Amino acid sequence: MAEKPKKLNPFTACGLAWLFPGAGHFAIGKAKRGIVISASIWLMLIIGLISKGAYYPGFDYKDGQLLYLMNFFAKLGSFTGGLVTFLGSVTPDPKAAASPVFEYGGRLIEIAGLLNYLATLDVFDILSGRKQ
Amino acid sequence: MKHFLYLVLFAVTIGAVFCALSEGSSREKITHGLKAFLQFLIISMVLAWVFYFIPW
Repeated sequence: MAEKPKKLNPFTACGLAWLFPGAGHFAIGKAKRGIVISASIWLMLIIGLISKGAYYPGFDYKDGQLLYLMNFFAKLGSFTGGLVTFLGSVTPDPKAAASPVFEYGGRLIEIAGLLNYLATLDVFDILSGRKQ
Repeated sequence: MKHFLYLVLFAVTIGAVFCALSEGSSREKITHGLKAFLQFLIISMVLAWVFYFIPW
């Protein structure tokens, strides 16, 4: 049987979904969906951090604007994910880029953020009645 | 091998999120997630082989 969404202000629910991956779905009573989303996004983030992806792209804004901006936008996808990534990149590691999975780690962190944008929009769609 | 494991991890997590976010019955959702997983995996492998033969 499908879980019925709880009535909640869409902006509050979307704010929760942005703050912590899966929290928006929990708040509207879609717990199963929230668990899958949260587990997947956090798994990606943790593997990305272990792979030193927090240092990605590893250069300044002037050396590659498009890649830098794309990375910044993707990291903004979730507040806690972005915060954890930021905290993980505070102490520079000069050998990070030498890791064979450095770029994969960076991409995993980016995709985790982008997936959270989708999850946030999903919460909005459910509350506005466009989706079940 | 490490690269392939990262590809599988990427495809599994994306497939799981797409499965959760898609519409329809449970069966349709699982089918959608599996399709996304297999598409990521197969297309990546095909592209990897195509790039292997391109000399740059």
